Amino acid sequence: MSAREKLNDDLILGKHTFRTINDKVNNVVLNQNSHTIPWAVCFMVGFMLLQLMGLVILWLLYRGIGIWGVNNPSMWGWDIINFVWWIGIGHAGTLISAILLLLKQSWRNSINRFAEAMTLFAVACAGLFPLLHTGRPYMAYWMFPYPNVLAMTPNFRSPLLWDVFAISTYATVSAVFWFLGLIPDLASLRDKSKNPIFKGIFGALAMGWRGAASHWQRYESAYIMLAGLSTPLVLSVHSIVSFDFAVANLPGWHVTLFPPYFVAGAVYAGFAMVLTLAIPVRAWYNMKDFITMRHIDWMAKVMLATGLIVFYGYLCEGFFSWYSGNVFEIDMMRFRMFGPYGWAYWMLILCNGIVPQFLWFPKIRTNLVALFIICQFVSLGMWLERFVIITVSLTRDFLPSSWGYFTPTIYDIGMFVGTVGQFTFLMFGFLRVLPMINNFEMKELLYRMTGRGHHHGHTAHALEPDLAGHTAGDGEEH
Amino acid sequence: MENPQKTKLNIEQIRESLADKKGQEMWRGLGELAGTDEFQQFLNDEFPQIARPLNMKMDRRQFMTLSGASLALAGLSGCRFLPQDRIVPYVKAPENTVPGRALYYASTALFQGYGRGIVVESHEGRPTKIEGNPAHPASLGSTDAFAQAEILSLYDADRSKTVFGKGQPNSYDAFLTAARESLLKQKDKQGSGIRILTETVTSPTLYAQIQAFLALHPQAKWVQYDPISQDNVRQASQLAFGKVVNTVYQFDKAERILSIDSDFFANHPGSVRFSRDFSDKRRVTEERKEMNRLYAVECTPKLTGGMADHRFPARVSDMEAIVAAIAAKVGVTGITPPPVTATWIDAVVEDLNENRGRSLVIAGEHLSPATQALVHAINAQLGAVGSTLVYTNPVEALPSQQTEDMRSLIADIQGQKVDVLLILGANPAYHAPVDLQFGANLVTVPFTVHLGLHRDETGFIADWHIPEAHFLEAWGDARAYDGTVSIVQPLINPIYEVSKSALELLAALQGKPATSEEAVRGYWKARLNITNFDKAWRKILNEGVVPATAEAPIVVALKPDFAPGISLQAIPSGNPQNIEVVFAPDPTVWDGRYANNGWLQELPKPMTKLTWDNAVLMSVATAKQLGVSNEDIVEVELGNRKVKGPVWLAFGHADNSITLHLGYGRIKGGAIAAGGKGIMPVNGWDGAGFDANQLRSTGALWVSTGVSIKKAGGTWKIATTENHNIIEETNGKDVDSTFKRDIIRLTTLEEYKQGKFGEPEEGPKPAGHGEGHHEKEEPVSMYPKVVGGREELGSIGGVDYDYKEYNAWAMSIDLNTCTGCNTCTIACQAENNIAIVGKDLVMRGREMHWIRIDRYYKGSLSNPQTYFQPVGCQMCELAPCEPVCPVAATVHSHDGLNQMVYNRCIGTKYCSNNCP
Amino acid sequence: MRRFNFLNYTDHTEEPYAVTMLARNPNVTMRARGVMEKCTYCVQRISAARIEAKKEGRPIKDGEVVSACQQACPTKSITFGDMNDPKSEIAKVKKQPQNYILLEELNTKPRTTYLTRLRNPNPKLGKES
Repeated sequence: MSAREKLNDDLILGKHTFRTINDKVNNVVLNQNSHTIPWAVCFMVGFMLLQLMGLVILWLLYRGIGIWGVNNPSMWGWDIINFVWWIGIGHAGTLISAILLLLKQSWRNSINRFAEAMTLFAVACAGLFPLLHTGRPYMAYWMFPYPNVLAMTPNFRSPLLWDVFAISTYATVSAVFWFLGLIPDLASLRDKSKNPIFKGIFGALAMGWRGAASHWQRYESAYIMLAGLSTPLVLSVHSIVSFDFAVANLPGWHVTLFPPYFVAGAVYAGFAMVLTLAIPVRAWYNMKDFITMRHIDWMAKVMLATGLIVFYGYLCEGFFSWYSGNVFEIDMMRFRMFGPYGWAYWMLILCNGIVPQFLWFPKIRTNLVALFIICQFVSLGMWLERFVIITVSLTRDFLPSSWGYFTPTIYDIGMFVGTVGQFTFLMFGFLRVLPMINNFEMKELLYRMTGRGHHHGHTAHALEPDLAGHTAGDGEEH
Repeated sequence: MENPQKTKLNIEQIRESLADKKGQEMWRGLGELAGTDEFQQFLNDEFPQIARPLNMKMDRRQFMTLSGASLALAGLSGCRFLPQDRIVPYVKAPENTVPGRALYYASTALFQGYGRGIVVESHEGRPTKIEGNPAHPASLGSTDAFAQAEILSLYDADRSKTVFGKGQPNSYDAFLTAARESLLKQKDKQGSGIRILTETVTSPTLYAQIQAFLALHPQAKWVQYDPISQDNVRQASQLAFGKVVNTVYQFDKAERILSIDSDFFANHPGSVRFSRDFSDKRRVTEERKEMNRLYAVECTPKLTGGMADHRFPARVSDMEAIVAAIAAKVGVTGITPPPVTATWIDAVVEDLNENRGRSLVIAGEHLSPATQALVHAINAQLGAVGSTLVYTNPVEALPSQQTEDMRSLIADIQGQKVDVLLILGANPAYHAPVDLQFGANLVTVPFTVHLGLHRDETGFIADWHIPEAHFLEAWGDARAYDGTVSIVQPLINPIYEVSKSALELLAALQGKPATSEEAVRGYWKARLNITNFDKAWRKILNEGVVPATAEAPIVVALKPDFAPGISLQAIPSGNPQNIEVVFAPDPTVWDGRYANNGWLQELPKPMTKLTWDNAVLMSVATAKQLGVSNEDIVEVELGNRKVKGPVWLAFGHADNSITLHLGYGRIKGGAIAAGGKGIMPVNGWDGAGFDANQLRSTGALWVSTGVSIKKAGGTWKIATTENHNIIEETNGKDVDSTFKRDIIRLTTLEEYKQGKFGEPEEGPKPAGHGEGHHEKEEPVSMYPKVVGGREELGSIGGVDYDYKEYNAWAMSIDLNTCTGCNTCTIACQAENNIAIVGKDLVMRGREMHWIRIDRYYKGSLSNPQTYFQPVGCQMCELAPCEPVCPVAATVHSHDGLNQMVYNRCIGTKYCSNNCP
Repeated sequence: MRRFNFLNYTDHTEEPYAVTMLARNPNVTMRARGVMEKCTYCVQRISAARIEAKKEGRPIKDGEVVSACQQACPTKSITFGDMNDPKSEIAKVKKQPQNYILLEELNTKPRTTYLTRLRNPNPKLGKES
């Protein structure tokens, strides 16, 4: 792919009709030859890493979490870092699908499907850790308030319990939202599929969708309601995750700034991951007409904006540590910068503070290679942010006598790499079996752009106000 | 039972007799056969363990007795080790035995051969915990870490379990036969080829028995050897008084104490008592605003220096000159003051003089006889004798020059004069001076016997090895530092049945096999010689001590011409070419005898906080000079002997001096002594140190100059429980390892009198923190209002409780008297079944001690002040751990304890993260 | 200060190390893998004293509960007891002016408190040594 493409305001490029859109999107799923070597490589690598994770988890259950580098005082290590990181990544999907929908941002249409899938898979990765990081994972069900003879309820004061609810809610709503959005496309796949088995599977999943007006009417209201439900989740989930730290009394954790700063960080990391996926995938599957440079440019801008909020958060932390006059806070900031983990802090500043500044330049925002590299920096930076928050605070808390140092073991690395594998495996599995782009919403967009099912490239663009009402997205099919 | 008339059956014959029979016939044949005597004999031979019950004729009464007894013992399924000898409980009589209820027996633990009274808790015949015996003068109810850990030594899995003869498992009877044969051969020579080697003996009974043995073999010789010997103490006494005396220090009378490299808080037979007496004089309350003052001159950082008000680092080689200078200043005649220019001497001497009769100078046992003799003279000059210390006759059964005796033993062996060598309880092949080549010489002796808890370095090469009974398994007696005799009562039958105590072994070799109880009881019956001995004996066992056995003070006069030959040359301090090496017993494994005790191996050494290893300790300046730093492996060469070990910086160590702790590098010490490899949960790093004995020779038992140290390349990971990055973080200048936090509050006696109690002048303060101890305002809090320190009303399970009705358990730890000795850590470990985890996991910060002794430094790295702070769970009333636990596994009890419900815990570890 | 059983530290049933389990105090629960543990103020000793007192129908006497660390301490630096009882040793010690709370600014109200470390320096010697 060429590093730089023309920046165009149009959200659908090229001469597309409903049929071409339909064929292009469905073809990826229905035509098994559409998958190329990059897909196979990514899928296989992901699968292998997933197996690796399986081995690590088996060993973990057999031996105990002592196989990780967690220690006293650093009782949490990569487990919780990975957890927060993955949860954060998931946020972009929800933001794109829910908030941008409510804000009637039509540019979400081509990216929402796989962003939502990414959310789900990231939550699946994240969800492993709260379970596995416990010393006795087989007792983890005690965190749920189920009726029992001991009349024991969980402790509702604990942020970890809030996490349990926040994440299970988040996972459920995200899955339902994603599936609901898939229904019209599944119906389309059912209709296009020639293989009777696939036809059956897609048919079952489509739940009898016929594209009737009443279907559309109910679909739209359900969808908008779920979007309304998801919107607070975007803010609440990571706020609650941040409470794991903010509610504790450790210097460096006990920060009121955490909820907004975590949410911004989550969106930041999430968009970096969306771009990391979108940039190669649109090239491999030739989706450049749908995921245009305009999309990429805007996503980069969102990254820049949230990145600036995050960077502001770092500055605030530094300032308030100093301004508090509290010896613990001041020392904690000093150790972050110049202590044994100083390298992590400065890497973090580089990744999340300095590198994103390049996004101010339109030339860089439209340079796919540069953007891809920046996204990797951002992902690394966000991981380091959690590392700095968790590890430095834990290893340098109140009593100097109990200070320590955290060193990860191969099992920590195995778990992290394993979840990356799991994510990759699920993501590329998804590309193969489900439409990666929201088929009907693209057709709807095309209609709104042109008023017809044909697109001539420059007659209209999506910045125009939304057209009142909707029509069936896929008229010619039914 | 042999009956020549009857033929012996064997299995072939039985098969034959049944071969032609089938079905019913065969079974009948078998039945007939079973009734015959021959078959019974066959059974007995084949299954000896069932022989007795089958032969036993039992009548109705016997049956009832037995079934009654078995019913009574049914609850005591764990009591296979109950001693058969009669033992008397400390408080409660045995008939009170209630399963589930502990009994307490008085006994005695040995340390350096001296006794320390203990009370042992026993659960259904299983000793589980050792406490101090309040009636014993060396304990007063307390213990030290060694005594606490003895309980684990008892259950040491690597203890020797069988007799070994010529490297093969053998029986005790076979040994006795062989031994008697060897001894018989000595009859004509009057036993001139027999040598007995023991550690220091204070036990009157054992001494009597050795004497009895020597009476049988008049030409035989008895050698005592302890690697941490008191030779120099005895020589000094000889030098000063012309005879060996025992010094009993009375810290409860001393206002000013000068310690010359003495480790009297930890390394003395009376150290537990000394600690108590010292702390009683140190404790400051509003009612008693007085405290003693401790000066410490020391080389290796020790507990003494940690407690000292003034600490002066000095090389061991320089101690003699320093003491001479002090002696001259104090007014000891016949001393030419050496050119020591230490400025502090004047002030210290003045202070000691001002407190005549209330001051005390104590010298380390390893210092040269001349130094210690001078200290005797100083004490005499200061009027200490009779007030802060008294002299008594020696407590050891036979004071001897142990190193000299050992040397002549080796000479005898080399002269082929030794035919039989009985080693009772010592491990000289490991710890004898290396120039004596004990191991190599031992194998040339025709008949050698080793009695030991482990088949250790000596046991491995001796002809015979006999498992030794632990002191909780056999009777004995011992004398304390002041002479008080206490009885060693066993709590349990030997876990490995063949184990013998030295008493039993010696008795058996004299052909009068007696149990250890008979020996001890017999000795005291004869010695006390009173009517109604049984009652008196019962009382003795009850209390643990034999009354009126403390040595009475004696008056000894200083020899006017003792004038020790002191070299008055200028001290070669500061000469990097002349580094000295100091050998010292290890603070946790001592001379190696505790090396296989996991609790002690994992116990952080008080000053260095090292576990599972020893190290080459040196000061920062010396390390800089040598170009080495922590964990660098160096080769230490003395004479032409070398050892390799890792460097560890000991802040406050004297410059140009290194310390090597003994007791490590065991080859045959057991799995724990070898670093715990293979039995710990994770085994990544080798541990358990290097053998400093390899440098220790008769000429340089304690200290030697002329050591050369060079980098050997590579590093050796050391497991320490406290971060050692202080140097990096303080740029090598003055340290404050509390990072200026209000953790250790410090004040001086003068300030205390003015009402200053060490509150921080700056830094964090809670809201409303008042001056002094005036009424404090309640800080602003989002927690429920608490009154009187607790919530007035609380709710447990929906029921409201008025907390005022309940106890409010609380603890106070006096940092002013805490010496940092680690005893509480081990006591807690023993009481609460706390696991050890091994070197690897300690390195990862996963040690399990519920109490850690935090150690902080303030001041210059060359001589910092050291502060200890025992920290366990602080039992916060507003505990930060409680709200964060998602499953409510840590909660408050009605009496204000922050409880951890193990069963409810799922292990999120959030509580620990939120624990300040 | 809390400790965590990261691995299985306590199950030594395999020979020959099973014998070390005989050293265990039957009144204290063993902690399984994956469980947090910490100082309990020797709750087993408190319970024993409470049972004894209840049987005799009286309150627990001062000095009746002795924690393991307190009992072993050679210098008797550790005092333990019921601070609700104004006559108890612990109540008296806590009234000492040098009584202080570790990390008091966190307002966690710990039951364990410390007494200030005092030095008694010789005024004629400099501050340095």
